[in-house]
Amino acid sequence: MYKTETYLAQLGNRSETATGTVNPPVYFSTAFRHEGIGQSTGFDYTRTGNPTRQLLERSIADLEKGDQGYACSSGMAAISTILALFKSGDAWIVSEDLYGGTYRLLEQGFKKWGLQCDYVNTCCLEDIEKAITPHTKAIFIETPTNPLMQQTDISAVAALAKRYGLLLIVDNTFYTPLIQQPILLGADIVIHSATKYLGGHNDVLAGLIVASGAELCDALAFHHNGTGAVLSPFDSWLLMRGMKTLALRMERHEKNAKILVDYLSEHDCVTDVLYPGRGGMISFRIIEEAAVNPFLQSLSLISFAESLGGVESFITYPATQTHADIPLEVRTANGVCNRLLRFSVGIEDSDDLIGDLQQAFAHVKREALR
Amino acid sequence: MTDHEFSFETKLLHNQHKFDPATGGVSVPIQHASTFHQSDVDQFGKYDYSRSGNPTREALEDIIAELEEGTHGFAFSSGMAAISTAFLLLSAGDHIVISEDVYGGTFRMVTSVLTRFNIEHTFVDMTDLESVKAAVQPNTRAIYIETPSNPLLKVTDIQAVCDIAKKPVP
Repeated sequence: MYKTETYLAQLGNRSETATGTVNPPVYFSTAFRHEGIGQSTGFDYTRTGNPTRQLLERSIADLEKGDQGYACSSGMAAISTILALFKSGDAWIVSEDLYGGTYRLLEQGFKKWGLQCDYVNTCCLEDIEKAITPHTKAIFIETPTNPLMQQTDISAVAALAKRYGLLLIVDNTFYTPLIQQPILLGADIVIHSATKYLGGHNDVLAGLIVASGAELCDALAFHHNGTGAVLSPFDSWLLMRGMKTLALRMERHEKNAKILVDYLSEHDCVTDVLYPGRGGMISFRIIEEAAVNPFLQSLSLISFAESLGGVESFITYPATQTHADIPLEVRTANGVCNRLLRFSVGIEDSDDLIGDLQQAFAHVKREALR
Repeated sequence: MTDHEFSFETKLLHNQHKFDPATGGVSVPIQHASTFHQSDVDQFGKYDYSRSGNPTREALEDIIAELEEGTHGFAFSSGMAAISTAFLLLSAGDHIVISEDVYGGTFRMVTSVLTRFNIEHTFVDMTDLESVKAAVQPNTRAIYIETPSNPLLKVTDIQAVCDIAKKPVP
């Protein structure tokens, strides 16, 4: 088995021997012909199985060291598919620092189908264990968390989950398998919003699930097919195209992030900088809430936009964007305050990024601060 | 000449998305972007994240809503994704009445997944209106029909079933 960087660069090569194509073909067909009953090629209907999507699914399973992969039409579609494994009366323990869309689906969606969620600081093992009840079936964690960058010891939580017979589900969007492979650390299910780092170019919406264990994989295959929120063949191909350069991009994201952490930590317009030590995501608190809009409007290189993980640098304002669906009291108690900004550091030249931040902060000092 | 004067065949081609206003192009442009630049913290643009809204998908959604004479359209990655989302309008404790002759994937969702979320069902022959009426319970929230049905091609009187569905609860 080659190193992850090599595997990524070679994605799709040697997948098709009829023509020797290096770049994998896109199979658009929704139906597949059989010669007769019981004579399948392995494909019958594209929702159930598609050769292009399958290549992506096998690849992510290999990269995350799992048994099977499942490609979905978005990260939220991936989470919805996993929720179908459970039933009314089940409970989950969930990271309290969490993407707002996940919180929304759990609280406004699956709650009415009978799933109970308890939100705890999943970085603290005792807090997780205290929350376990006879109804608990799974622990769902983000690590690092979005947007406070808190890290959880996956092996320790996995050991706890195993002791109580619970599934451990890890959202690995921020770190990707290049930095973190949760299944190797004991997780049962890994999910990605592949829209982010894996795709890398802000041009494909996609979600991925990887699981370990035959019974769990069969159940997920059933729901992936039955719920039907699968990734299209073209989007699967586009995602693989992005993944080929993941190692190169991640190297630059991380190098830039570390430089910017130093810069932001020294700046008098910034009160806190949150960086988990790896990867390209930084959160920081600007000195005053009133400075947020002027700061964002002054940026000319860095974009004020939702999403993260793309080649272009983005800054997001969790209070009104990614975490808007979490009730104010809940998110501010967690530390996601109105001064917090989340920075997805791109692959631009770091001096140019510093230049942009510099002029935006200068504008803020001149116009917005008293 | 307004759209509602055109025949269905014409509306398939000539609708609000017949050309791209920015370029005049006679094909809906594909907007690949997963995200959209914002210029103000307090006022967001029409689009912010592709999952929530994308102009290419929106064109399809507008057109199908118009063709089906509904108010809103929603595009999904498959028929089952559309069906599973529609069913998730229901809550634990609800009940549905559904065509007994229905696509296997729908049957599977209703019997293997919804039951675990305490959403119950009754299968009926939708062409037999008395059976449909008899199957409605106080906690029935929806009636689900395929017409023609799959695979026996039975035709249901949609208007009559809608009348049963909409009948005010005494």
